[in-house]
Amino acid sequence: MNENQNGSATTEEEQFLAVRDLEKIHLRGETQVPALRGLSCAFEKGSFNFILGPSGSGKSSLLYLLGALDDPSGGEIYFQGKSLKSLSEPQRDHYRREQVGFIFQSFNLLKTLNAVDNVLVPFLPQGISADLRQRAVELLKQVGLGHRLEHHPHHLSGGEQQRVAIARALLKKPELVLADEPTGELDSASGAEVFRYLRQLHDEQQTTVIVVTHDERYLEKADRLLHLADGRLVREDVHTG
Amino acid sequence: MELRAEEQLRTLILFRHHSTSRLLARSRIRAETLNSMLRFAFSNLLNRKARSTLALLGLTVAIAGMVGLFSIVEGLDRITEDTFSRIPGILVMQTGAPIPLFSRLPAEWEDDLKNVKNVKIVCPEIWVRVNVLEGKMIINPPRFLLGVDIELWNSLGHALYRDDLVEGRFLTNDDIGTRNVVLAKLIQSEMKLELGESFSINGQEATLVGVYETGSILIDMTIIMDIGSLRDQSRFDPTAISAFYVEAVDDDLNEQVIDDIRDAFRGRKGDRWAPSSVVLTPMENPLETMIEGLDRWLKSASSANPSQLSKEPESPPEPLDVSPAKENIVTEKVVTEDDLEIKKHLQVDESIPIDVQTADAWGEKFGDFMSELDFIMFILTSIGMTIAALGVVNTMLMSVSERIIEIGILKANGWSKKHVLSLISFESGFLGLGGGCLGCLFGWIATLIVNVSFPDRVELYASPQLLCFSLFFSVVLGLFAGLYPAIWAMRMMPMDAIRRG
Repeated sequence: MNENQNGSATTEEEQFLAVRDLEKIHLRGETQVPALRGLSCAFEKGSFNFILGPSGSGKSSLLYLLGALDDPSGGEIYFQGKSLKSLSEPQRDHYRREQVGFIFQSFNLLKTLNAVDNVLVPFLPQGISADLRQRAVELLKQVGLGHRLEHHPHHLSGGEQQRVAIARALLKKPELVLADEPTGELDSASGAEVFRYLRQLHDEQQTTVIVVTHDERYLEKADRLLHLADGRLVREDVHTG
Repeated sequence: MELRAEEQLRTLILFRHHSTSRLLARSRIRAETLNSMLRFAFSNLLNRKARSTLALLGLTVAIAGMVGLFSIVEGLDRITEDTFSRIPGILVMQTGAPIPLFSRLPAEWEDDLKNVKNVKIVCPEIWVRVNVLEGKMIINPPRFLLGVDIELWNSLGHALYRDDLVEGRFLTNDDIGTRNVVLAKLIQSEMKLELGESFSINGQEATLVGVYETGSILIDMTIIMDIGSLRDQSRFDPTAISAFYVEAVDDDLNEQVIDDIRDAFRGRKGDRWAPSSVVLTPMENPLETMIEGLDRWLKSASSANPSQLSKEPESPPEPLDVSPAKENIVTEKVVTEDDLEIKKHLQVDESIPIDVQTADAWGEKFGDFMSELDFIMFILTSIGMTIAALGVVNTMLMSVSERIIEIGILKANGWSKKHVLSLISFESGFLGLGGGCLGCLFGWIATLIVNVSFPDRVELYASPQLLCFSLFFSVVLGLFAGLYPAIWAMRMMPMDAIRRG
């Protein structure tokens, strides 16, 4: 059971995204390094969330587990009432392809593809229809890259690359966007620009956004903040600006 | 009622229309998918130029080697087919002699052969090796002198050399007792001889009157002259000849004539060919002696009773368990896909002092030798292929390990294991296709260069089938070699891949 922002109790099955007693232990050789130690929390649909905390607090581990990029060592994650653990391999692929958009710190674009094709990457194996390509172009235009459509990543600045990554994450009209330190490799201006686009698209598509960061400059009023330390949720509050 | 039927028909048409549209849309998406995946795979290879080029080079060399090696076998195959298809008659030689050059038969058997039913013409032949041509030692490629009874040769229905004349004339009765010769265009070009020009063969003068060209390097190495003149020139045993060429009244009767000749000569005394008998050959050359010595040693090593090789048995051996008319042919039934086919295995019957065979049968013997050669080529090719495959594995493994993050990103974006496997397989398949195309091209060009450079020594032939197979093999090799790296990449968890990167 978790409490929503209105203070009323809801079960994991009723919540958009819920985490219960989540554990993650990484193996470094034979040494076990616990990243998450029984963490429980919940995220509401359409909310803008920040996971904050020092390095090694388990922020990125939590984000990757939410995106089904990794398997938890214990506990459960429920997405729209369904446990990610119960999903079959193709269902997990579908979840990552259709419902979750990822934005990484180091952009993670494919250097052999141009900006448009990078945006279309999730759908390459399914075939790219003209409509989809048109939508990718429009998204790139929305993030101010209309003049950079055919450019490859090495011809784009860090900020531009991150905007391509945002367009890629949003092309699928995801219900959940997970961003891992999206401004970590950008200067302040580019970082602010990236967040401007992220918030603009969040407003337009009512997407739930979860951002891992330790840079608190981009927090805005009403953003939900989860403070992690040593793999545990130590505080949960709403930013008051 | 009618209205309802019309409605049903309309629904059916609509349903069919929707199904067709769905099918078309699905196949268009499939084509688009393949197109995008192939483009992505190709751009990945282009992005790693050095590594891709090295893998491509490894495959190219291996496939070119494969084409080259198998073109030797195919070339020999073609030569054999070309050569033996040109000789429609029957060749009678000394039992065990590998080629007419080593065969010795009594000349008087000519009359006995003529008396065999359905025999039209019996042409005696004398074969002598050319050791010196225009003062130049001839070792390799070999050249042979063939002495023929000109009158009989000209009366043959199909006569080799005579029917392949390209310049001058063939020998006529006027050439009997002369040293006029007809030789291959290849030898003429090599010696730069003009018609009517004299030159020396084994120290004796000869005059060129005609030039032939068969296109087979096994045949285009012979110089033809009158049998009497050659006998005098080479001091050939006057009571012996090398072989008889027999023409039946009808080619279709060849098998029957062969059986009749065998019957006629069964139990007759005659020497079986053994390497030592070749001492009769005048002007032995050292290479030939060495080969014969080796042959003799191999025979003595493999034979349980070596005396049988050099000595004719006093009495005929036990008859073989076959029909009386075909004692020296053991037949064995072989089941093929279409029907039952009787395959004949020629086996020497020592109760017959002659070896009687059609050219096709000689071709089969040659075919057996080539299947051995095929096996050796297969082993050599396998070694090359293994090295090439390891090259592709290495390239793809390196490529995958360099792109761990990329693979993680792809999986994070919903790419399934199958999609990752397909991408890596497309890349290795491209390498295989590229290596195959280049290997086939270079291998084929190499065979042409070798054929032009050594027209009288080798004839390599890379058939379209060989080229297609090599290309297919290269693609399959590329795909298989890329499979391990692909599986390795496929199994990786997205998070593991990103974290490793």
